[in-house]
Amino acid sequence: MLTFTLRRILYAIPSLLGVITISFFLIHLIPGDPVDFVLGEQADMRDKLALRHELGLDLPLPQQFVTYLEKLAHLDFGRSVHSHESVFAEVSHRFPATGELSLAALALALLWGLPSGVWSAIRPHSFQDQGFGVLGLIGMSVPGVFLGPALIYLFAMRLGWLPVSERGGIDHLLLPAVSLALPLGAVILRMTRASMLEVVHEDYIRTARSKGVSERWIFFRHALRNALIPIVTIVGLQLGALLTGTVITETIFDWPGLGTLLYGAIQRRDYPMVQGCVLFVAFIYVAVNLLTDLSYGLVNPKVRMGK
Amino acid sequence: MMKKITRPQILFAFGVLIIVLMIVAAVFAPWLAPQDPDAMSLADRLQGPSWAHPLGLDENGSDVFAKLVYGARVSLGVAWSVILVSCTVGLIFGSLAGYFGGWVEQVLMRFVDMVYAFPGFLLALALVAVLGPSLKNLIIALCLTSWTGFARLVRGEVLHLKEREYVQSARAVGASHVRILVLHIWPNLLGLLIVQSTFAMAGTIISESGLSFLGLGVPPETPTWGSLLNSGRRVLIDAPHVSFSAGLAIMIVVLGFNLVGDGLRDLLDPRRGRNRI
Repeated sequence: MLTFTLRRILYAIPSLLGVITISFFLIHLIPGDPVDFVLGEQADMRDKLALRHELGLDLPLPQQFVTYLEKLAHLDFGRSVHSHESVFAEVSHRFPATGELSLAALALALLWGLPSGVWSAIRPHSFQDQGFGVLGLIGMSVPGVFLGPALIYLFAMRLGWLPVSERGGIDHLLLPAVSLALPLGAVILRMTRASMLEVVHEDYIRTARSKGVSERWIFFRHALRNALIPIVTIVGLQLGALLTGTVITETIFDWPGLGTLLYGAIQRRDYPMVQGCVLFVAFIYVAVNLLTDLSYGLVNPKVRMGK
Repeated sequence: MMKKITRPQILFAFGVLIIVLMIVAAVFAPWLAPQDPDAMSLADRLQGPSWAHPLGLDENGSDVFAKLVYGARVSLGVAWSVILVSCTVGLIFGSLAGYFGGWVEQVLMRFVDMVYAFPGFLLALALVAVLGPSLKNLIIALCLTSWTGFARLVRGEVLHLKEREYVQSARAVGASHVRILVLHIWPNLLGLLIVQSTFAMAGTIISESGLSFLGLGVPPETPTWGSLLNSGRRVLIDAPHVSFSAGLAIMIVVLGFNLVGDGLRDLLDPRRGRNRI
C-alpha cells in the first residue's frame, strides 16, 4: 500500500507542474500589454511601471518563471491589484464557503443517486427502473444556469419557503446545494446502474447464488462492492468539478465562495487574483484526483498489489 | 420482450426529432422569428406570452422567441465548430500516440495529461477572461477543454486495434503507416467518435451557455441562450417566462443530444452499450 501511495503521489507531480505552467502563462496570453489590460491604456506611466515591476513583467521570461516558482513555494500568490490584499489570504478566506457547498452537494447527490441507481439495477427494465432512467436523463441534461433560477423562482419567490441568497444556516445552503446535486446525482445514478448490471453477470455472483446466499446479501456484499470502482472514479471527478465549477451556482445564489471571488476578479481585471484563484482551484482539483486514485486501493485490493 | 426492444428506439427517435427541430430553427431563424431579435418596444417590456409573441417579451421589449431561434444559431454553430476541431486534434494526437508508442506516446500523452489535469470549465473561463469575449475566443477556449477527452479515447482504442489481424497483415504486405492509419484504423474509430461527439455536443452546449450567462462568451449584443437567462434572472419575479423559455430550450436540446448519444452507443458499440438505459 505504501509503494502504491508513493507512486500515485509521484504521478501527481507532472500534473501539478502543468497546472503551474498553464496559470503562469495566462498573463502572457493577454493580447497587447497586460499592464494596459489591468490599468487601462490612459493610466499614469508611473503606475504602469510600478505594476509592471510588481508583477515581475520587467524581467526576462525564464527568470519570471523562476521567481514565480519561488514565490509559490512560500505560498505567495501575489497581491490583488484592486484591494492590495494578499491573494492567498483572500482565497483561503473564501474557500470554506465553497467547500461547504461542494460537500453538501456531493452528500445530497450520493443520497439520491446511489440508492436509486442500485434500486434500478435490482430490477432492470421494470417500472421503477424506467422512472429513474427518465429522471437520470433529465437530471443530466438540466443546465445549472437554468436550475438555479428555477429553484429560486419556485421555492424562494413563489412559495417563500427558503431564502434567495447569501451564506447562512442550512436553509441558505439548501437551494444552491440541490441545484448542484441534481445533475451530479443523475450521473451517479446512471453510473451505479450500469456498473451494477455489469457485475451481476460475473461468475462469483452465480456461485454465491448457487450456494443459496440471500439476494440482498449478494447485492450489497458481492455486487455493490465490486461495482464501486467506476462509481468512486465518477464521484472523485465530480467532486473536483464541483470545487471548480461552482462559479455559476455561486454567482446565481450570491454565495461568498471562490467562484464569486474569481468572477468578481475577472470583471475588475484583477489579474493576480484571477491567477491565484485559478491556481488554487487547480491545485485542489489535482489533489482530489490524487485522493480518488488512492481510494481505488482501499476499494479494490488488486489495484494496491501493483497491477 | 417487445418493450425492451422498442423503448430505446422511441427515445432515440425522440432525440433525433429534437436535434432536427433545433437545426431547422437555426437555419430558418429569419423566417421563424416573429420579428427582429434586436427590435425593442419598451412600452410592452416583460409582457407575457401572446399570439403575436409566443414566448413573450424580455426586459427591453424584445421578442423572446426570436432571440431563442437566433440563439440556436450561436449555440449550434459554436458547439459544432468545437466538436469538429477537438475531434480532429484528438484523433491525430490519440492515433499517433497509440500507433507509434514509445517516446512519441510518452511525449504526446504527458502533454494531454497536463492539460487534462486542469479543470475544464475553469480553463475555458480563465482563457475567455484573458483573451476577451468573442466568438473565436469562445471556440478556442471550449476546444482546449474537450480535445483531451477525444485524444485519450482514441489512444486507448488504437492500442487495441493495432494488434488486430487485419492491421498486422496490412503491415506484412508492406502498407505504409499513413495507409494503415487512414484506411485500416480510422474507419474503425468512426462509431466511437460519433458517440463521443454526440455527448460532447451536449456538454459543450452546457458550457457555452454557462460562459454566455456570465457574460464571458460572445460579445454582449449577440443573442444567446445563456445571455437571455442572465437578463431573465434580473426580472425573474415579474417575468419568469424569459428565464424559463431559455432554460427549457437548453435543457431540451441537451436532452436530445444525450438521448441520441445513448441510442448511438447501443447501436454502434454494443459491447459497452449493453446495459445502458
